[in-house]
Amino acid sequence: MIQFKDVTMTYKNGTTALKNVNLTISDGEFVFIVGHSGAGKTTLTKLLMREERIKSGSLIVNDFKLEKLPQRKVPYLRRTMGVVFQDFRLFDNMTVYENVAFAMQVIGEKKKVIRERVHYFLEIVNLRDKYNCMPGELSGGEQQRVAFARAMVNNPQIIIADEPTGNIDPEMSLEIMDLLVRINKLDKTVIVVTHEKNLVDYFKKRVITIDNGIVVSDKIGGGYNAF
Amino acid sequence: MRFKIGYFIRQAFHGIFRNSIMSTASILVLVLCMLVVGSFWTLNENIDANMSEIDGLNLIVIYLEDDADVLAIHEKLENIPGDAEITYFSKEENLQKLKDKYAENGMDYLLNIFDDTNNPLPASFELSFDDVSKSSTIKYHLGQIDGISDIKDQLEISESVEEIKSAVTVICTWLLVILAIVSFFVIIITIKLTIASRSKEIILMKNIGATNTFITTPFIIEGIFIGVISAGIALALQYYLYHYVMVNMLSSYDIITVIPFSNFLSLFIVLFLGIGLFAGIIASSISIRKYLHS
Repeated sequence: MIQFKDVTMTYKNGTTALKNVNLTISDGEFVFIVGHSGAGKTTLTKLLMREERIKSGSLIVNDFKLEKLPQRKVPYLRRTMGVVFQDFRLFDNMTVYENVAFAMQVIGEKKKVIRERVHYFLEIVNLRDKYNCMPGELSGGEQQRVAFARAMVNNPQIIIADEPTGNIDPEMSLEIMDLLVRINKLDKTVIVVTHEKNLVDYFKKRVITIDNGIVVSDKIGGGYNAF
Repeated sequence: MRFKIGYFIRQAFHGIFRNSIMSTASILVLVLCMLVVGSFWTLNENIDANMSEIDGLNLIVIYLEDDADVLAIHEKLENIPGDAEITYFSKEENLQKLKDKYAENGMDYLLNIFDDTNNPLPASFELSFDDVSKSSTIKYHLGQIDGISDIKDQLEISESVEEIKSAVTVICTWLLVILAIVSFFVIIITIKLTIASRSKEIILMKNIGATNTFITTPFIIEGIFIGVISAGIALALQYYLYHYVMVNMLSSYDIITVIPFSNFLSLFIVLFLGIGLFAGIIASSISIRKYLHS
């Protein structure tokens, strides 16, 4: 579960990115976070990952109280979530298999377990045949699916997708969103930060709209028309 | 978190090969720095050794008048400041020394006409000084002693040699210090560039949930490998360079003494490994810290 209580976040340069945000996202929910550029969407995801610290209020993510969380425990918080970025962030010099396996290697998982789980998740994202390909040999949509496999391979409770369809074709976008819905059906909480009005409207999920650091709308089954 | 040393070593090797250009650059810079430091060191030691060979210059020979009071002069010589080593040679001993010297060239027959009854050579004192910087004071004191017929010395030359020796030692020491500092910063910059080129990897590892120890360890091991490899290459090159320049080229000159490389071997193993490990570990730790706290 994710719980924001009166969360305010101000950057060092004095810019207040979020003001008194109150939000609760339950386990297994599918949430779109929408808003203009600079509205505070990215700051919100950075707070969830503890890349930034909140200025005031309280934030609980998967039972971790982030305002009190010591730095040494941050890696353990991050293992409870998988993150997918707009620019995929794959290693160009690693194969598809190695890219996905990397996420398990960094948490010290055994080779045998890595092999089984990587192949399982490559199957889920329909890339089993391409496990030996380099990222450069894949389309944008396929690269994003590799990123999803990597995000899920450690069995996180939350998947955060930051503009996951921003760098791929519109046809592929639907496929990626479909994949996110399937992930959500595996009892994972899915948070999608996006600008894609059509996709938000099409999937009719919970939509949280942020404008100028303030949550201006929070509707289940809402569309991308709140601001 | 299970810490597997095998995994870290594999990752360190992968890191070196994956970033072969930057790894090669780091190794080249390190090898170059070690060679420069090593070359200056050997040069300094050889100059020092050759300068010491000329230490015979700080010898003064005092010839006595035939009727001089040897004991009184000896007492006065002992009172001269500078802790000289004083050796007395009688007239007979000086004649024998001269005969021995002529005998080396088979010409001792020329001196056979001389014996104790007609020995033309005077008795003498030889004074050997460690500190020749006060040559004018020493000469002044000698001038005050009666019974001395002649003084032969090369104190001015000796003083100049001593000054050159001190200057060379000071210059070489400063050069070593400056080079060591410059080398360290060059290595830090090179390793920083290596790590910067892998910032994407480090940030992603953090996002995935890797601990700082897990992220840092392969980089530190990589720094150790780079340091050890560089030390090995530098040692081999230093040996070849020393043999080529110092032994092959300079040993043909009789007046130059060349210290054998084996005298430097253990020092260079420790010095190069020290530089390599210090630079590798410290530079890796300093460079990666920025990303860990981002």
